[in-house]
Amino acid sequence: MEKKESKKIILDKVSKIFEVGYRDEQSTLSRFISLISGRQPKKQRRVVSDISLEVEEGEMVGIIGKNGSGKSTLLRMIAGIYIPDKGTILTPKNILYINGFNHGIKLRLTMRENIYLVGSIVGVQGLMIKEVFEEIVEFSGLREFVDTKIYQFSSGMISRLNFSIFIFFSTLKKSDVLLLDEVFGAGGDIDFKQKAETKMNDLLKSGVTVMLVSHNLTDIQNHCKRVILIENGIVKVDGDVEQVLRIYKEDAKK
Amino acid sequence: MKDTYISKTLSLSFSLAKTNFKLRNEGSYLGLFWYILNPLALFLIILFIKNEAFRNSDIQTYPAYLLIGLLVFNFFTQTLSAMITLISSYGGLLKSIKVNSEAIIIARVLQSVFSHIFEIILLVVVSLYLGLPFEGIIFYIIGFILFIFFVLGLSFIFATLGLFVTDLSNVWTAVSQALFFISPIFFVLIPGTPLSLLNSYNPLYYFLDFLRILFIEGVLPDFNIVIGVVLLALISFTLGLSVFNRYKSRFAELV
Repeated sequence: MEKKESKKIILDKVSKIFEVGYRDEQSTLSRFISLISGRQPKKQRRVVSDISLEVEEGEMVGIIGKNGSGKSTLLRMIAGIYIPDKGTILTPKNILYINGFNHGIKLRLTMRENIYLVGSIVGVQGLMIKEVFEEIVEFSGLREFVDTKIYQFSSGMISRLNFSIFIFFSTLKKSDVLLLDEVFGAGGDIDFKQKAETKMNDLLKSGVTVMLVSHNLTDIQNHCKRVILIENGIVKVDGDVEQVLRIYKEDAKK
Repeated sequence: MKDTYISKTLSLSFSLAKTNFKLRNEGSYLGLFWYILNPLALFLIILFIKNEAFRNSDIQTYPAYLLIGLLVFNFFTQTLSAMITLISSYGGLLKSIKVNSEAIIIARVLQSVFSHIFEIILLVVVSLYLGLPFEGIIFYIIGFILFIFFVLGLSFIFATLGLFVTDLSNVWTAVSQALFFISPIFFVLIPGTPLSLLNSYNPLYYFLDFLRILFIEGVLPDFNIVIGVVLLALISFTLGLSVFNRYKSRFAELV
């Protein structure tokens, strides 16, 4: 299914249904059958339900909601990773969905090999990788370890590398839309954190449309004017950041 | 090359294949030699017992006949059995980024092709030892490309099916064992027997025949065989690609 293009992100009555396993009152026979075949009974669960919304070009929108409310599924549908069961989605062409920072880093490869690997996974061609390679190495501050295998890195070093790879490739890709799923908090020490935040702000302010999923409400407050609160797959509130956060916090107290 | 879907997919395939190849050899003492040692061991064992076990001594070029049989069979079954769990093993990646999932399949086939390049060294040795026509090796390599497309097509089907039917890996273990004894890998078919009738439905048989004639005799096989293998490769490839394309948009949800 080809998606049509548009400058804005437009979702029209989008739904996504997953079949999930569950335990039910079963007869002895059917329990025996599911034991033999390894199959469970399945129940349909509407993870995203009739969501309609628009995001303007260059807008920065925060998305909040409890675990399992459908935030990631929504972003994945906009990114084209999942296909909606109902409804239509119009988006610009170049979309980058980032989920965490770890995009297939292989522990048994060296830092150099990993940078090239991730580059080709996110769709940057060989020559262009060469261009940013130096910048990534420089920014991560891990120059002496370029040819060291990742399994010997400390966890702080890995998160520095992950962040550096992500930020430079995202910048290089010149995407129209960035869908960021829990990507804040670069890890690493305080120096690196500051450096990372500045870099992140640069990227976010470059005029790209951003949808930001985060449980860190401070990040949301710092970056977004508009916030969407999602609950059980539907948009509960969509509006000004202060107002939506207030409702979210009140809900949490109940 | 322009930034087309195909060129992007191919370049990603090469990077993934290169990575997997590196990862496979990482930390192994004998490294690349393993690619040769495995088929070589089986080759020597069969060669050793063949005079006692079966009457193949009438073909002088039996070592070449056997080696092609083993290498082609290994390429076929090992590549396909890797396909069954391949998509699930890339689950994390598929869920977190939009990748051309064809590249995952092509990369795995390429990885097998890389190993086969080392196995060709064995073929060269045998060819020199038996004094076979040297152009046979070049013909063989060209012919093998057809076989790659045949396997690639089936790979697309196996990868898709493997995601829906977990039992496939058990089925495939049994089927590939049966294939090893049914296909003329270590023995020569006698025309008119039930076994040779059975093999006329075995696509692997046609490729074995095709590649053996190319390699051992250094000539183009009968027109029928050539048309046969070209058709098999073409059908497998188009069918595989269309099955894969039909289901690939759902992979991310299923892993």
